[in-house]
Amino acid sequence: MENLEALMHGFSVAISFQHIALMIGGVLLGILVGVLPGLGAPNGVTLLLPLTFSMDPVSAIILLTSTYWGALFGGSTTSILFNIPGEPSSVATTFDGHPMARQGKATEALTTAFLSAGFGAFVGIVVITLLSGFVTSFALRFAPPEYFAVYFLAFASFVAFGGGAPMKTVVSIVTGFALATVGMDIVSGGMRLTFDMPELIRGVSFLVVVIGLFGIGELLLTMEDSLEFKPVATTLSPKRVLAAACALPRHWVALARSATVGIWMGITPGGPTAASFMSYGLARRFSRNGANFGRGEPEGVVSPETADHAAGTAAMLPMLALGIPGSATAAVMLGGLMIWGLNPGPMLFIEQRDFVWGMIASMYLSNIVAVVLVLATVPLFAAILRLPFTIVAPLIVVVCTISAWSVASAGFDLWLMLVFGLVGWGMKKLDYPIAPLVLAMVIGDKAEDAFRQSMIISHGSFGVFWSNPLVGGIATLGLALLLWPVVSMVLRKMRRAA
Amino acid sequence: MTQESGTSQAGPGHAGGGDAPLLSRLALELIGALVVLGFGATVIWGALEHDIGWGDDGPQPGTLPFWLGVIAMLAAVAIAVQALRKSEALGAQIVLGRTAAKQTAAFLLPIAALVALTVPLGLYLAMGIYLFGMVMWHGHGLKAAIVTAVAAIVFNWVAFEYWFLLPLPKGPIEALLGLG
Repeated sequence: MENLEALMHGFSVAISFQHIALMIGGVLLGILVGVLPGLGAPNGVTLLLPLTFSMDPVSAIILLTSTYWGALFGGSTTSILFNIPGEPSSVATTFDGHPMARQGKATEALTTAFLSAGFGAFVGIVVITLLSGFVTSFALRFAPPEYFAVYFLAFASFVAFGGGAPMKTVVSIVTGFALATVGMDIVSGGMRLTFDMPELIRGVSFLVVVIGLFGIGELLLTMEDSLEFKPVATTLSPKRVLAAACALPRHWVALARSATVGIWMGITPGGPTAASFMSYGLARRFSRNGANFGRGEPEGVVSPETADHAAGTAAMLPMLALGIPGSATAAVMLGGLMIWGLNPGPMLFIEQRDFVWGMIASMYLSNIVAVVLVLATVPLFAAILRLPFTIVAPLIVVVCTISAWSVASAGFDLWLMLVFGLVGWGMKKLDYPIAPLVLAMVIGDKAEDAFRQSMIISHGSFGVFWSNPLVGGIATLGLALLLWPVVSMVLRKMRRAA
Repeated sequence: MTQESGTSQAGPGHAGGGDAPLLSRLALELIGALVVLGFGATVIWGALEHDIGWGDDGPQPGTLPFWLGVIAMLAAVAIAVQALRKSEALGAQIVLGRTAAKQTAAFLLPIAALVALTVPLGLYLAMGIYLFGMVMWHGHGLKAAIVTAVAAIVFNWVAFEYWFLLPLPKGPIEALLGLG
């Protein structure tokens, strides 16, 4: 009941004219970002981040989270109508969503996608609401060793669950960490990895890196495919929308399973993309209609969409409570939190009640806003896609350039953006995961500080990470996950030999 | 409701499978490993300016970067070895064709020009030139090019100078017009 009270308090913080306006603006921007290939949710949030520096944290997080929801929804629109995933996490939606559209059932496909997504998001937020009270109960037990153990766990789970080649995940993490160490060292005051270049003294901004990796990098990939949008006339008849909405409860098994998968993948840092693929795979394997998958089966739209959004919203909990972002976008928001002067971690739930509960309450509202807006604006955004991509792409480049400039008003950052654009292109081509790099850049400094403080406390002994059940449990779990790829390989070899 | 069928990728002029190969997956994997190797070496070099040891109070300023560099270099070697072991399969896999490479370069180089021009000319003029050039070059006509460039400049000017109060870099043109 304590949570319900806190949630009501949150609603009183979140409901104001300014906040609702921010939600609508954020969702619309998000849909635009999601619809445009080459711009994804991490970009949308990164591009808006510099604008939030002068806002109060509650307004800022409402704007950013609304943009995130909008982008998740927008990505599905293009997947279904054009077979072009606007977001990596909506790739799985193309498998059945686009065939449905081709059979003349675009309205049904879009409605099913948006409502399952809304359902997934709703379940995710309810879980966050229920678990948030629990987080505060161990907040005060967190000291530097616990923090470091949790950061370690986050990186370890990327290696274990990230899906990519473990070596490449390691490279991604190490690169992010190394970039985070550039600039002034807080403990000693010395300049690290600056190579006497004055531009490097303030460090490498993760925002500029993200704009390059995701923004420019994606565009380079898209250009290579010489993507052409096909004009499609899109009208949604309210009657068919309603009919599709009424048909949704029939897929309750898929909805429940996908929401569970999504929440699990959001809380562990699997992220929405992995969640949607995993959910689609499970649905095809276990559904009674499994044979129809890939040929326009509504359940093939329900499953990835529900999981995608459940993961997107659930990722907010570990971000706030532990400083572990469950997705690349959450990693960017985490950076925002620190810039606004908030310290992610369990203490946030005690010290910043207005912020935490205002944000949670706003998530209920903004997802409703998002479902309504995304349905209402399908014709509008479908029209934007009729613009030739050769005009849209340069406009996206200009947006990226402005954003990279606005981070620190430095010309050097624009070159960094360009270099990381190339790096992002290469990473995508070679399947190096990008999210761990962003994560490492955002919390690299904090992880190192926590580690060095722990070592100062323990006089250089690693025993401090097993000094009580809480930290010991987290650290052991982290080690187990880190070793998981090795263990599973050995097991597989043993089984083959037997 | 009209629904066009067919996949969305095969536009005219897209070479697709017929594109002459330029880079195999193997080559790109090895280039990637080399870049990581170089990055690792740079990080180690930077770390060696500091104490990389382990004092009574735990790691010193150079310790973390040093070991990060070492791990990066080891991982790079491992990735290269893994790629070479599968060299036949990866060598046959083409990740970049000549046409695709040209398209990518034709998109990348103008961005470099935009970045290079931003500081001397100001971002507004630079983005105008860039957008005008790109739209003209892709054959959308003079009218579309002017509309795109002017609309972008006006919108961003209003948005950033007045709305967000976040001034973007300006150059000689703005100074001449008394707007700087």
